[in-house]
Amino acid sequence: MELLILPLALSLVSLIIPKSTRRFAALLGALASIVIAVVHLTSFHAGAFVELFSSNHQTFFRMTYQMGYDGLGLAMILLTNVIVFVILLANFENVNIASNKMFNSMVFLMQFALLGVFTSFDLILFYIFWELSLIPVFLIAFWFGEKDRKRTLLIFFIYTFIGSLAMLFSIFYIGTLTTGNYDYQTLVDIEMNTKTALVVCMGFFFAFAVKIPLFPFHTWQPETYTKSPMAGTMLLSGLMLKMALFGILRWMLPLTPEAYHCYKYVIIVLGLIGVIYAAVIAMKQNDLKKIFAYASISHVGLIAAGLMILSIDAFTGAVVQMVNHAFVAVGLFLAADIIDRRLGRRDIQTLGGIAVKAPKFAFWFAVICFAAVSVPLTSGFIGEFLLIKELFTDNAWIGVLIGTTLILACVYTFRAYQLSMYGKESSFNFNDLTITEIITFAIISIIVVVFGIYPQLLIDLVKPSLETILMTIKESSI
Amino acid sequence: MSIQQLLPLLLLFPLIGAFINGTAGKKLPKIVAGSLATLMTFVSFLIALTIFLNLDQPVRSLLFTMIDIDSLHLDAALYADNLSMWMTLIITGVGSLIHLFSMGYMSHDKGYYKFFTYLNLFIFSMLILVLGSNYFMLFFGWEGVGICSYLLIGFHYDDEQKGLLNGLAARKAFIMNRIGDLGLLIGLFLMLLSFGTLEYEQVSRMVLVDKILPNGNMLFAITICLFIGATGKSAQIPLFTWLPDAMAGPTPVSALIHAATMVTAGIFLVVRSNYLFHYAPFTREIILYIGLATSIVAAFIALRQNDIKKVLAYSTVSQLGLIFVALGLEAYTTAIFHVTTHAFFKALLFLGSGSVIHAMSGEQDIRKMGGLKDKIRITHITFLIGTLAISGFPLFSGFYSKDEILGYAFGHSLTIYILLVISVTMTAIYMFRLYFVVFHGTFRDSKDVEHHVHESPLSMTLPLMVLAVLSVIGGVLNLPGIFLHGSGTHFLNNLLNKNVAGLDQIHNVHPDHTTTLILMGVAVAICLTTLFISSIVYKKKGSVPSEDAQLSAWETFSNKKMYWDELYDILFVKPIEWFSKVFYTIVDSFILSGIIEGVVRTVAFSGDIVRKWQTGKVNSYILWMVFGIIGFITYYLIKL
Amino acid sequence: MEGTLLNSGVSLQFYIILATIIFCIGVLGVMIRRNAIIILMCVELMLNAVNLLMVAFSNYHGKGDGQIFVFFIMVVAAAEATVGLSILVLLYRNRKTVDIGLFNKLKD
Repeated sequence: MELLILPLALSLVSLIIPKSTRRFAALLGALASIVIAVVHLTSFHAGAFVELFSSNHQTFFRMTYQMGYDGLGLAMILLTNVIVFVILLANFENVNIASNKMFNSMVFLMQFALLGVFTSFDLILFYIFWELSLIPVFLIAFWFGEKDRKRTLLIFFIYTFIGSLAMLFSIFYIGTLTTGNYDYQTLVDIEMNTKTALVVCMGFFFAFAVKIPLFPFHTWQPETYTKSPMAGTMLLSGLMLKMALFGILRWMLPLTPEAYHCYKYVIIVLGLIGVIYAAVIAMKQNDLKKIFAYASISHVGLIAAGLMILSIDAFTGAVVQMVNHAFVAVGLFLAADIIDRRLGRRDIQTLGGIAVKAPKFAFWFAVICFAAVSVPLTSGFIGEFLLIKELFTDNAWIGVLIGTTLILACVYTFRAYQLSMYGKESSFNFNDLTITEIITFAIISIIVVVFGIYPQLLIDLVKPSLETILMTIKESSI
Repeated sequence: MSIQQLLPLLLLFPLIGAFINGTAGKKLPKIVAGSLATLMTFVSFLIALTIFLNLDQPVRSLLFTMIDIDSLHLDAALYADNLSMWMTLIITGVGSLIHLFSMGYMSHDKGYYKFFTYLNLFIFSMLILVLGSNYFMLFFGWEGVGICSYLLIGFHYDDEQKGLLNGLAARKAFIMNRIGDLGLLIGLFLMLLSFGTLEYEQVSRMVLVDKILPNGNMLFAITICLFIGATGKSAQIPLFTWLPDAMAGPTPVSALIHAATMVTAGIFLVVRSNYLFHYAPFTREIILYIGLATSIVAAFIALRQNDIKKVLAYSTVSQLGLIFVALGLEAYTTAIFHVTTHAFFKALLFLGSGSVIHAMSGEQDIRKMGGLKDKIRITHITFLIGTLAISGFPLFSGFYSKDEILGYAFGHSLTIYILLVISVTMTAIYMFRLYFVVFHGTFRDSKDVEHHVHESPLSMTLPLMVLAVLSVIGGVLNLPGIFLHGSGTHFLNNLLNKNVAGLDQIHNVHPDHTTTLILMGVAVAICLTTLFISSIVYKKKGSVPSEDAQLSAWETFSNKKMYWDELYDILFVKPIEWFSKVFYTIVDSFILSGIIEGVVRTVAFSGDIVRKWQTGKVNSYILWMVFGIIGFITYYLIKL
Repeated sequence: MEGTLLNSGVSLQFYIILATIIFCIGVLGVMIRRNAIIILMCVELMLNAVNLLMVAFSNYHGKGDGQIFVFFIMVVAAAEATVGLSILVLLYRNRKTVDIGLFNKLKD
C-alpha cells in the first residue's frame, strides 16, 4: 500500500517544504518511490498476483476497493516511478518550475493517480483514478504553459473529458449486467452477446482512443503538446498515453472479447492510418515540439494496432514498445526543451550549428534520435520487430504498410536533428549540457539500450500476466 | 582457447577501441587514439586468422538468449564457417590498412578521436553482420553498419558550405538503406512463418537435409525480400543513388564502407542464403537482370563524372552489379572471389584518390588536376596498379575474377555476355580516363596549390603499397584450371565448398579450356585497346574533360547521372511533401479540427437563438408561463 | 343538499365561477398592466380568488383543512406584499418610476 500512499503523501508534503530545498526533496521523494517499487520487484515471483489492498464492505456504489498488481501492473508501476523521477530530473535546471510547490505537488498527485490506474482491479476505482490523472496534468499545463494556451487546453480538457464520460456510460451499462459489482474478475466472467459487448466497448474505445490518441481523435494532441510546458508534455506523452494503452490491454479486451472481431480491424486500420498520416505530417513541420508530437502519434498508432493481434508476441511487443516510447518521448521533448530554454525558439529553420557549440548535447540527442527510429540495440527495435512481425503475420499488407514507419521515422527524426544541429558554427551562444541533463539523458539511454540488448528482463516480468489476459480473451472470443 | 571462446573476443576488441576512444579519446594524443583503433582492428585480424586456420567444421558460439517467447526464440550467437571467416578476414584486414591510412589522412581533423570511434564501431557492426548465427543477428549488424555509415557520411556536418549537404547525403543513405531493411525485415518475418526459426544451421538443415521447403510462392517472396534488402545495402537499382552521394564522407570511409565491406553485405546475404535462392529460379533471374542493368547504368554514368570520388563510386556500383550477375548465375564462389579482389583494388583506388585529394589540399575535381605522376610517385604507381586491376589487365587480380563472371555469363546466354562486355569496356574507359587526366598532362590548378602538392606520409603510403601488392597477386586465390593443373587452382572455391551450407550442392558448369582461352583473349583485347586509345586521347593529345555546358547530349545524360535523383524527386519526394502539406493544412487543421470546432459552434449558435426568448420583461415571462400552464392543462384534459 | 354549501342556498358552482373570474382578472392584469403597484394588486387578487375557492371547497366537503390553508396563504400574501412593496419603493428611488416596461434587467 505504501506504493500508493507515498506519492500522495509527497504531493502534500511538497506544499510545505521551504522553497530552497524543494527540488532536492522532490527528487529524493521520487527516488524513494523507485526504491519501494524495486523492493516490490525483488519479492515478486513471475506470474503471481500481489494484493495491495482490498475491502469487501458494501459501501457507497458498492465498491470493493480491490487493488493489486500482476507482472504487467508491476512493470507499469516501475515505469511510472522511473519516468516521474526522470521528469523531475529533466526539469531540475529549470528552477522556476522545479522549485514551484504546486508543480511538485501536482507531479506527485499525477504519479498517485497513475499508480492507482495501474493497480485498480475495480472498474469504478479505475475510472476515478483515470479522471484524477487529468487534473494535475491540466493544471501543470495551465499554470506553466505558453502564453496562448487557454483555448488549446480547454479543447484538450473537454475532448478527453467527453471521452471519459463515454467510458462512464459504458461502466454504468456494464454495471446493470451484474449485481452492481465492478470487481475485475466478475466483469471478466460476464457473458455478453456481441451487441452488448459492442456497446460497452464503444465507450471504452472512445475514451482510450482520445487519450492514446488514435487517428481521427488526435487533433488536440499536437497543439496541447506544443503549448504545455515541457513537464506537462512529458507527463502526457510519457505516462498518460500509456494509461490508455494499458486500459485497452487490461480492461477493454478482456471485458468485451465478444465484440473483438468487430473492432479488431477498425482499430488496426486507424492505427495504420495514424502511423503513416502523422509521420507524413511530421516530415514538413518546423516546430521541434510539433514534430515530436506527431512522431508520438505515429509511434503509438503502431502499438494500438499491435494490441489488436491476439498473440503473446504482439502483447509483449506492445509492452516493450510502451516502455520504450515513454523514455524516448521524454528524451526527445527534453532535447526540444533544452534548445527552447537556451535560445528561446524551436523553429528548426532558424536553428543550426548547435552541434559545434554543444558536442555533448549533439551526442545525447543523436542517441535519443537513434532510439526514436528504433535501430537495433535499442528497445524500440525489439518492440517494433515483434509488433510488425505479428501484424504482418495477421495480414501481410497491413504489416508492410505499417512497417514503413521504419523508413518514415528516419525521415522526420533526422530532418529535425540535422536542421537543428548540423551546419556551420553560428553566432548565438549555446551552453553545453549541465551535469543533471547529462544524467537524465544517460538514464534514458541506458534503460533503452539495456532493454534493447536483453529484452528478456522485461519479457519475463510481463509474460505470465499477458498470457492470462490472452487466455481470458480467447476463451470468450471464440 | 577454443574457437568458441575466440569468436566473442574477435568482436570485443573493436568494441573496446570504440569505447575507449569514445569516452576518453578527446584527452588522448592523436597518435595514441589512432594507433589504438588500428591496433584493435589488427588484433581482431590476427584472431580471425587464427580461427580461420584452425577451422574445420562450422562453429557456433552462444552469447545469450535475447528473446524467448513461446513461439519465438532468438539467440545472440556467433557462427563461424569459411564464408563468414573469409569475410571477417577481408573486413579486419582491409579495415586495419584503412585505419592506418586514416591516421595520416585525418591528422588535421579536430574530430580525430570521433572518427576512429565510428570506424571501430563500424568494424564491430560489420563483424556482427557476418558472424551472427542467425538472420536476426545479421539484421542487427545490418542496421548497425547503416548507422555507422550515416555517422561517417555526415562526419563533416559543421562544414561552412557543405555541412547541411553532408547531413543530407547521410540521411539519404540511411533512409534508402532503411527501405532495403524493411524488405529484409519482411523476409525475416516470412522465414519465421515458414521455418519457425532464423538460425542458419536450422534453416539450412531443413532445406538441404530434410527437404522441407515452403511452396514456390512463399520461397519467391522470401528470396525477393532478402534481395530487396541486398539492393539497399549493396546499392543496386533502384536503391543505388545513395552511394555516390555517400562520397560526402571522408575518403577512408568511402574506401572501407562504401567500397570494400559494407556494400558487400548484400552479396554476403545472398551467398549465405544460397540454398533458398537455389529453389527460387525466378528470383535469380531478377537478380541477374537487376545486376546487369545496374552494372551498365552505373558504368555509363561514370563515363562523364568529373569528381574523382564520384567516378570511383559509380565504378563501385557497377562492379557490385557485376557481382550480382554472378549471384544470379549461382556462381557464388566467383562472386566472393570478385568481392575479395574488388575489396583490394577498390580500397586501393579510394585510398589513392584520398592521397591525391590530400596532396591537392582537398580538391576533388579532376579537371583541376593533371600531371601528378612525378609529384606523388608512390600514389601514382599504386593508383596505376589499381586501375589496371579493375580494368582487367592480364594477370592482375581483377582479370581473373571478372573473367570467371564473364565465363559463366557466356555459358548462360550470349546476350548477357555481350551486355557484360559492354559494361566491362566502359569500366576500362572511365578508369583509364580518370588515370590519365589525373596523373598525366599538365597541372591545371593555381600555382598556390601546385606548390603545396606533396607525397603523403608513410602511414598513408604503406597501406597503398600493401593493397597494391594484393591487387596484383589477388588472382592466385582462385586461379582457373587452365593455369595450373593441380592443387593450386580454385583455392577459394574449394575453401567455401568445404563447409558453407549449400555451396557444395551447386555444380556450375565451367566453360571448357578453349572457350576460356577465347574469352580471356577478348577481355585482354578490350583492355589493351582501351588503354591504347585512352593514352592517345588523354596523354598524347592532352584532352581535358570539357565544361558541363559544352557536353553533347549523351555526355550530359551521363554527367547528370541519368537524372535518377530528379526522377525520384518527382516520383516520391514531391508527392510526399504535397501530402504532408495537405494532411496538415487541410485534413488536420481544417477537417478534423473543424469537426470539433463545428460542435462548439453549433452549441453557441443554438444558444443565440434561444436567447431571444429572454426579453427581460416580466410581462412576457408571465405570458409564456400562462401559455405553459394552459398547454399542460389542455394536454391532460385531452388525455383524460 | 347536494351541490349547495351548508346553511346557504348558493350552489358551489357560483363560487367556482366567481373565483375563476377574479383569477382571470388578476392574470390579465399582471400580463397587461405596466404599473408595478397594480401588478402587485393583481397578484393579491389571484391569491384571494384561490382563497375564496379554498373556503368554498372546505365548506363543501365539511373539512377544516382548506380553511387552515387560507390562513397560510394570507400570511404569505402579506409577507409578499411587504417585500414586493419595499422592492418597489427601492426601484422607485433608483429609477423614479414604477413602470415595469422599463425594467428589463433580468435579461442580462
